[in-house]
This record gives sequence, C-alpha cells and structure tokens, in this order.
Amino acid sequence: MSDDTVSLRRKVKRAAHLLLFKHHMDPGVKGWELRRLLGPRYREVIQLLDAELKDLDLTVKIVSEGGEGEEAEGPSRSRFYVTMREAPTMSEAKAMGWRVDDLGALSATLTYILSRRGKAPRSEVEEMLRRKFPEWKVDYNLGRFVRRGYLAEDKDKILYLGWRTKAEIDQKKLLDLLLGKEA
Amino acid sequence: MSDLPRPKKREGEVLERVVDLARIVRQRSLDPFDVNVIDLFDRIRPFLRKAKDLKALRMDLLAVLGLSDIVAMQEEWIEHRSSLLYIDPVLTLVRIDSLDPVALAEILVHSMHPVTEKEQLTGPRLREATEYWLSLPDRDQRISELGADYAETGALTREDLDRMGLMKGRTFEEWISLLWGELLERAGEDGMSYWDFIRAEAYEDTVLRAYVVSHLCSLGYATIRASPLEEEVLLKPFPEKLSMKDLGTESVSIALTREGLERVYE
Repeated sequence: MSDDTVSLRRKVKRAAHLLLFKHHMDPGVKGWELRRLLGPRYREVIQLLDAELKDLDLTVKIVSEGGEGEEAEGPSRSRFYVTMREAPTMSEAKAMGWRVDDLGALSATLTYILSRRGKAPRSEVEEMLRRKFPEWKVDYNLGRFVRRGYLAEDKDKILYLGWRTKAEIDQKKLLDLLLGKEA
Repeated sequence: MSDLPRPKKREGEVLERVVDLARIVRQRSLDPFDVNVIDLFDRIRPFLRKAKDLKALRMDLLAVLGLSDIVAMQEEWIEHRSSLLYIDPVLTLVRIDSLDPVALAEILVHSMHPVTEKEQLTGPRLREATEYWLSLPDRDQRISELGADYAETGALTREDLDRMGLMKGRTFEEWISLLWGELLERAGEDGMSYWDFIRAEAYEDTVLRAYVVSHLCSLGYATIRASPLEEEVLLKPFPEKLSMKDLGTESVSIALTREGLERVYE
C-alpha cells in the first residue's frame, strides 16, 4: 500500500469521526473546517467516505445556508452532514422518539411554510395547527421544532425553515406527497 | 400660514405608509405584485426635493428602500413561482385540513433523511423536558378539551357491570383464571402474539381481553415483550404464578383504538 493510500485511508477515518460525532451544539461540519483538518483534497476524502457509508444506508449531505447543494456559497461555507440515505419507516421514526401526532404537526407546519415561500407569521401557523391538534400542544411543539432546528424564528415572530429541515427533508417530495403527485 | 404644516404632515404620512406597506408585504409573504411600485415612486419623488431636514431625508430614504425591497420580493416571487417548489398556498391549506395527523406524519416520514448524531442527556435537553412539563395544562383543562365532565365518584356492583355488559357475567377472578388457562394452552412456553391472543369478534370483547391480560402480567401470571422496531408484542405465560418480588418493574403501554386494531388485523 502506497503512502498516499495510507494517508487517504487515515483521512477517511478522521472524516467519519468528524461527521458522525457532534463537536458543536449542532451536528455537521463546515466545509472550511474539513479543509483545515483534512487538507485541500477534502472533497475526495468525503467522496470516499460517502461510498463506504452507502452499504450502511447512510450518505454525506452537503447543505448551503440557502438550501441543499453547495452552488450558492461554495463548498467551504456549506455544511456537511451524515444522513440516512433512504427514508425511515414509521416504526423506525417512532423508535427515534417521535410521536405520530408530533410528526403530523411538523408535516403540516413545514408544508404550510413551504407554500408561503419559506416563511409565515407564527400566529398564522398556530391558527392552522389549532384546527387539527390540541391547543396546549401547538405552542410547545412549535417551540420544540425551533429548538431542534426544523424551524427558525425572527424577532418579528416570523417562522422560516431551519437548518435541520434543509438537511433532513426532501422538500420537493414532501410537497408532491401532500398533493398526491407521488404514491 | 395655516396651510403650510398640512402638506408636511401628509408627506410624512405617505412615507410612513410606504415603509409600513413594505414591512407588511415582507412579513406576511403577501403577493408583492399587488403593490403598484411605479405609482408609489411617482408619489414620493416630489418629497425628496422638499425635504429640508435630516428627519425628512431619513423617512424618504426608508420609503425608497422599502419600495426597492418590494421590487426584490417581486423577483423572488417570480423565481419561486417558476421553481419546482411552487405550490398554491390555498390548495396546501385544503390538503392539510383534509388529512388526518397520521397521514400527515406518513408524508413527512417518507420525505425524511434524519441526520446521524450522538445523543446525550445535556443541560438543554433537561431544560426542554422541564419546559414540556411546565407547558402542560392542568388536569381540569385537559379533561374539558376531551369533552369529559366531572362526575361524583362511587362504586359499581357486579350487577352494574353485568348490566353495562362489561364483565360478561363473570367475576374478575374468573376472567383471570379463564384467560390464564387459555394462554397456557394456546401459547405454550414460547409465547404468542399479544394481538392474536386478545383478538375477539367484537371490539368490546377485545378490550375486555386486553384489560384482563394487563392484569395477568401485573399479577405474575404472564409477561409481555414489546419490540418497537418490528412492531411485535409477545405474550408469554408462566406455568406458575410469580410472586411480586420476582416480577420486573417495566411498564408497557399499548394503545387500543378501533382504528389501531383494524390496522393490526389487516
């Protein structure tokens, strides 16, 4: 095995450690951090790691501040995450700690905000949720979705899609399924 | 002289309205094409020449920035309408209203690719748990949301239960003995599916069997093993009743609803 190959293997392991274990408050690693820790060829290292994670149904996902992909800001300002390659089953989602009605509330919230060009006043979202879910859970759930990163909220109480939605949710598929375009 | 302050006040009001309009369009995601930007620019243009102090200039600047913002929003609006993610907000609301929470949850789960992260009990998580408990309304409010009323507490006799069709003419002890014997016969030592065992023709009978089975487990006649991943619940009888000190303290909650049972038995 050449020195280059040994070095590359070591970097793939290092990349796996960086991406799979939380080092900050939120998961994921910025492109510039990967460049600093893995060197200028860090994209090759990430591609190799992605190929190895495929067998485990995992993948490396790159998300820019603006959304999925890295074209908008360049790779060094994007954030890299390891996510499940396929969607989980409902049983798996429940085993991850989700309650079905909370998933339903998040689904309604995200589709509502997506249909409003990615933002909506909190009061309108609350009104929409109150028609379907117990009133006492609406405020608690919205707070939890903000804390977990599915939503972001500004000082004017406008809700936006959060970093976790951009990292975890296939927004196009979500809307298609809502409209029944995809079985 | 009395006419002089009036135009100044009107100018200020117009500029303030333009600033507010831009803010409202931005905050509420309203259609920015509902705003006639050219007309508003025409109306505020003369104000700049008349502006004599810094305050007036500042208001004029804010109005121009607001209108520029609306033009930027018009561009965003066109981009969004032409993107794959465009969806009619009214249609979305109708679909959300027409789907039950379970269907909405399924839609989300099929679009979800969770991020892997090492979870651990941390200060923020404990704070989140505290906030949850503090956000719970008191029992009175929750009961009123369920549509239930308080009633005087009292005792039911066996005749009452018979009349309500709840115990089917048997005492509680008779039911325990009957179902324990049936479980030993049907399940053997390997156990059997909980759902298969409690299943009865009528929903009420299924609930009664589930109720008795919960006591079989609590009293040491049987045990229950739930596997959330496989969605399997295994019921296993003990050949002899175990004493309370030999029993584990694990609690298993199983929801019984008509809809849930229909899905299980599909």
